[in-house]
Amino acid sequence: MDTAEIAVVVGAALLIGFILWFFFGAQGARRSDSADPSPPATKERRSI
Amino acid sequence: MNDRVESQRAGESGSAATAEAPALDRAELPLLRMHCAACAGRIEKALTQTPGVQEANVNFATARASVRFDRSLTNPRSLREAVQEAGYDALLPEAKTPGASASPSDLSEAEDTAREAEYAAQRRRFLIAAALTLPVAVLAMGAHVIPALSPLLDFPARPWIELALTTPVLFWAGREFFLGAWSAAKRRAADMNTLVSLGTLSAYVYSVVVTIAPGLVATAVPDAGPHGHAAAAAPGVYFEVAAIIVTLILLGRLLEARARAKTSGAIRALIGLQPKTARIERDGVERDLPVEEVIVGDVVRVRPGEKVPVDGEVIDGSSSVDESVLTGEPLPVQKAAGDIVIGATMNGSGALRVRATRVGRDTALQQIVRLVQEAQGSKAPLQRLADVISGYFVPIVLCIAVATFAVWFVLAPVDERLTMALLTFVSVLIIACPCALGLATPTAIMVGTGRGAQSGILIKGGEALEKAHRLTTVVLDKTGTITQGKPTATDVLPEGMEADELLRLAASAERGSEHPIGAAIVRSAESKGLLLSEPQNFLNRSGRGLEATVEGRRVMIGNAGLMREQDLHPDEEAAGRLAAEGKTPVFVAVDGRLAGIVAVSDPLKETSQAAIERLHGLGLKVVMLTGDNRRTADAIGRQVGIDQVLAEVLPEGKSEQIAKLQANGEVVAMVGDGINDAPALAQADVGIAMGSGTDVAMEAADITLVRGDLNGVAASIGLSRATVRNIQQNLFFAFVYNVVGIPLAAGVLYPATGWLLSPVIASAAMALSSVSVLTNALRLRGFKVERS
Repeated sequence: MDTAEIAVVVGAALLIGFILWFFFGAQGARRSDSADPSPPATKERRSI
Repeated sequence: MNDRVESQRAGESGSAATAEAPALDRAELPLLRMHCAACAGRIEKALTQTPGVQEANVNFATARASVRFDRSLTNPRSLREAVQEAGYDALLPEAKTPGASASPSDLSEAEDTAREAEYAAQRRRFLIAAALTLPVAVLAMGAHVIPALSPLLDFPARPWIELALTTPVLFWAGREFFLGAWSAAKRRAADMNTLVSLGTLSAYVYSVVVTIAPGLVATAVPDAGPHGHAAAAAPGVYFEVAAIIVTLILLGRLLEARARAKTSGAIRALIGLQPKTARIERDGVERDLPVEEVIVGDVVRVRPGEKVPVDGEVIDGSSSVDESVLTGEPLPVQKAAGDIVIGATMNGSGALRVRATRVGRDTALQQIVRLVQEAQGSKAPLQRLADVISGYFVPIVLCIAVATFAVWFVLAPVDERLTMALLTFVSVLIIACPCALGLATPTAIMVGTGRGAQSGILIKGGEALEKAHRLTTVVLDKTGTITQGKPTATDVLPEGMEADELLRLAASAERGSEHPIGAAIVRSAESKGLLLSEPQNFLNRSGRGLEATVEGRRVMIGNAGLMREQDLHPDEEAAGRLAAEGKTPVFVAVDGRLAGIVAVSDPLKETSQAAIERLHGLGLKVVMLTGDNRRTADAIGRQVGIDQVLAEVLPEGKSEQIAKLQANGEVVAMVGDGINDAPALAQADVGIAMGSGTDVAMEAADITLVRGDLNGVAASIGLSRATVRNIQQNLFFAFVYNVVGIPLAAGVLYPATGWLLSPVIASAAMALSSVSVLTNALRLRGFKVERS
C-alpha cells in the first residue's frame, strides 16, 4: 500500500463513521426520510 | 369520516388544551414539485412544525396537504411559506368572490393549471438539458463509438467546452436535486436527491479539477508520470457522466409525472362528474345557480337529459335515471315521487322536481371522492416494511459507495485506480435510488382503488386491500344480500279467524316494527286494502318477535320459541313445510291463543347464485348467516349453493359466529347491508357493506359496494387480489433491482468478466425502474370488474 492508498482507506473509514453518526447517531435519530411518517393504520370502526 | 377524526382529536386534546378551544380551519393545499414518496413526509413535518398547525396530512398519491390550523396563529399563506421553505410549493385556495371559501372545483381547476405549468417547465428543463448534454456525449464518447472521429474530437479545448455545457445542465436543469439534498441534509436526512447530487457532483468536481489543475490529480496518481501531461486531455474528464445522469433522471421524472397523472385519473373523473349549476325554484321563480349555492330544502328542477345536481328526494315527475357513474349498474333506474336521486347521475327522458336533501360536501359523490382520496393516500402494511428499509437505505448506500471507492482505489492498477474508484462510486450512488421502492405501494393502491370506484366498489385503503386478498371465507347475510330484502307475505294460515283478519291484526302490530318481515306483512296487508290500526304498548323481543296491543287485543308475533315460552303449542309441522319451501313462517297469537301462521318469502336476487359460484371460483368458502329458522335457511342455502348455513342466529350473535369462524383459522369477510350487521362487519377481518351509495354505512365497512349486487363481492375480492399482487410485484421488482444493481455497480463482476457498470447505464436503469413500477401499477386500470 502506498501513502495515497492508506490515506484513501483511512479517509473512507472515517467518512463511513461520520455517515453512520450523522444519520443514526443520537442527534440524527430522524435517519433518512422514509416514504411517509403517518402512524400505522388501525382498523377504525364506528357504530352506525 | 373527517368529522369522526376531528371529534376524536378534539377529545384527545381536550384535557391538555385550555377550556376555550381555538377556532380551527381546514385547508386543502395542492402541492407542487413532489417527486418521491419521501417528499410527502418532509412536507408533513414542515407543516406540523408551523406554529398554529394542529394537524397536517400529506397525501402523496393526490399530492395534496390537508391541514387543520388555528386561524388566529397562522393562515394558508404561512402554510404555503412553510412548504416553500421545505423546498416545494403549494397552491392557495382562492375564492372567486372575496370572503367566500374557494369551492373544490376552483381549486381543482387551479391545480390542473399549475400541474400543467409544472409539467411544461419540467419538460422545458429536460429538453434544454438534453440539448446541452448531446454535444457533451458526442465529444466524450464519439471517439469510442467511431474511432475515426478521434483526431477530430481530441483537441485541447474539449474539456473546457464540456465544462461550459455541463455546468448549466447540472446547476440549472438539475438544481432541484441539489436543493432537495441540501434541504434533507439540514434535517440530517438523506434521500434520492442526496444520491444523485453526490454522484453527479463527484464526477463533475473531479472533471473540473482535471480540467483546471491537472497537476493536482497527477500528484494523486504517482505513476501517471509519462501520461500525466496528457491528463488534461482524453481520459481524465467525466463531464458526460454528470450531464447524462441529470438528463436521464429528468426524463424519468417527466415520464413519472405523466404516469402519475394517469393514476389519479379515476378520482379526477369522479370530481368531474359534479354538475356546475342547478336550476332552483325559489320564491316561485326559477333560476340557475352555481351548485355550491344550493341549500338543503331547495326545490331543484332536473330537465330531461340533465345531470341531477345534488342528492334529493323526487317530489314530482317521473323519469329513468342512469346511475351507472356511481353504482356501475348499467340499466337506468325508474324514479318517481318519493324516490331518492343521487347527485351527478344522469336524468333520462322525463322531468323531475327534486327537493335537495344533501348538498356540498355531504352529497354521495363528495363522500365517495373523499373516501377514495383517503383510501388512495392510505398505507398497506407491506408499505411499512418498505418504509423501514428505505429509512436505512440511503445512508447505507452512501457507506457502500465510499467503501467501493476505497476498495477500487486499493485494488485497481495504479494508473486507473482513481478513475475506476470514482466511476464505481458514482454508479453505486446513482443506481441505488429508492424511488421505485417508494412508488411501489402507493401507485398500485391509487390505481386499484380508483378502478374500484369507477365500478361502484369503494375500498377503504391499503389494509382492507391486503386483508381482502387473504380471505378464506365469505359470510353473507341473507336478507337484503342474497335475497332482495323486500319480502312479501305469501301464505296466511289462520286458526279460528278469517285470514284477512289475521293478516290485519298482525300487520297492525308490525307497524311499529322495522324488521323486514314486519314490513313485508304490513306491505301485503296494505296491498290487500286492509285497514290497519295503530299499535300500542309495542314490545320488541329482539330476534324472536314482538308484542303489541291492537284495538285492545294483545297480539304476539314471533317464532316457535317465543310461542312455547308462552305455553302455546305452535303447528310446527305446517311451519316446517313452509320453511322447506324457503319461506319464513311466523306464528301469531292473539290474546294468549294461537291465531295462525303468516309465511313471508323474500325472493332471491337474480344475481345471487352466479355471484356465489364466482366466490367459489375464487376458492372461497361461502357461509350464510341468518336469523331465519334452520329449514328456511337450508332451503335458501341449497337454492344458491351455500357451503355452510348458520341459521337462527340472533342479531347480537352474528359477530360471535364470525369470531368462531376466525377462531378456526378462517380469514372472514362479512357481507351485510351495514345497518343491523354493524357488529358483525366490525368483527370480520373485512366488512363489506352493500349499500345504495347514499348510506353512511360505507364508513363502517372496509369495502362498500355502492350497488347492492352480490357480484360486487367477488369483483372486490378479485380487485384486492390483483392490487396486492401488483404491490408485491412492484416491491419485488424494486428490491431485486437494488439487490442486483448495487453489487453490479460496485463492480463485483469485474474480476471475473472485466465488466463494469457505467454510471450512464446506472442512471438509465434508475430512471427506468421508477417508470416500470408505475407502468406495472397502471396495468390495474385494465382490471375487468365482472358483472353477471
